[in-house]
Amino acid sequence: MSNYVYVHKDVVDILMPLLTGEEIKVYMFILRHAHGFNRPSARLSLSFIQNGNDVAGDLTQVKYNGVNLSRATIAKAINSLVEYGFIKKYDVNREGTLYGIGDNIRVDELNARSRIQSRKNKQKMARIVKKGKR
Amino acid sequence: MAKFDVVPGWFQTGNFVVDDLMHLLTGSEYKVYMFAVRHIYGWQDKVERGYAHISLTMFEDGFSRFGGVGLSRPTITSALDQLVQYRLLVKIGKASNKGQAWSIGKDIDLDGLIERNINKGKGSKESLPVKEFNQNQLNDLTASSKNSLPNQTQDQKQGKHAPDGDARPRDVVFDWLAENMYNLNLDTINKSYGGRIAKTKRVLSEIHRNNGTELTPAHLDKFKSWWAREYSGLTMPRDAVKLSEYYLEFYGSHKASRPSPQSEAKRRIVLSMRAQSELGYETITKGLFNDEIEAKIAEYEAMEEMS
Repeated sequence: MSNYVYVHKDVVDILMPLLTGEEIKVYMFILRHAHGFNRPSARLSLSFIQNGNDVAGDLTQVKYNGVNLSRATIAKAINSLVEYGFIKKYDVNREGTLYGIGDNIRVDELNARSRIQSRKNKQKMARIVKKGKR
Repeated sequence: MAKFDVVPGWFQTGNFVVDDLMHLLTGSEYKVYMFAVRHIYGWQDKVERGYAHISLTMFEDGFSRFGGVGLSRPTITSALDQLVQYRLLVKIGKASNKGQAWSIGKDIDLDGLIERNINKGKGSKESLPVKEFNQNQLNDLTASSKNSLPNQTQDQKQGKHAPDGDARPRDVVFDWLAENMYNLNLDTINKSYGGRIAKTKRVLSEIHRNNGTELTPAHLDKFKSWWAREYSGLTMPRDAVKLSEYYLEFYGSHKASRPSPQSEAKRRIVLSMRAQSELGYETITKGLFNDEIEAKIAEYEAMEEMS
């Protein structure tokens, strides 16, 4: 573990309970490929985020793994990360989309989403408990 | 926390965690692992110590201004079990009133993780232990719980279970369609074909259901021979809707050529009355059938067939 990527403490302390596991994975991947290379942004394609790069025996290239999620899940995670200001989407070209790390996160909206989700979970649990009692 | 500050707010995570580990862990495992890393290496004074006490409640709800992982307790427990199994996290000593002490594992079982990842996609369910079913447990259930149990098929009720290794009995109609329409090997039907075959089966079954009958392979065999007769040289359409149009045509012609049970009964009554008059019965009774009359009816039917 000689090289490191810097993660903001608030991502783990405050935002982790508000994000899903898939969103965290995609966010960390983009952070790694932007800040991990001392760049403000990184151009990444969906297939690269999904499966990493295919070095196919080329020893001159470094192999990077993807996040190992389905394409639809990644697209959904990216959309919600953009919506809540975690990442920024710039231009799109043949090589992929240019993503930057956002610095203005909409915590209130995230909290609202989390509250709705927890209310739904509680209702679901109540239904299960009620069904079990019956 | 509207904007991220500069350096003081950041903590280091090994590139290895993102590059080589993240794709092998599930979302919940990754969250739990990141949380542990944050609370073990996130404070300068604790870095050298190399471990931290993190209780389950802290994983779940966090403490003071620090949030938890946002997962339910069972999910956290199963994620921790997996992380311990693959030596990503190491338990130090026994849990105290401060919680369990955790350290980050240095000797990670990467091979095991890779193997788990490979097995995840292909039938890992087969390797899961199946709890033995005890019939007596059913007696302890309430009436409503019994209602929520899956319905048994007729074969299961009669104790005709599928052979070992084949959990569900094979669907003969599905198999017929796969073999005859798609020329598929039954052991290697992929998802896309499976969906199309199931749709075709649904559409054809609906036609039969509307007429109060049930679709069987015998019907499909007849349909196949009818197709060969009527549309020789043409391949059977694979599209469910198009096929259903032809099937309706086949079903209509087949139904028209076959007398209904009511008309058959009426015909026999007429023949019986004819037989009675020819045999010289004094009174002709509607619906009288005896050996003599039956023999005469058989004679009439044979004559009809000859003509």
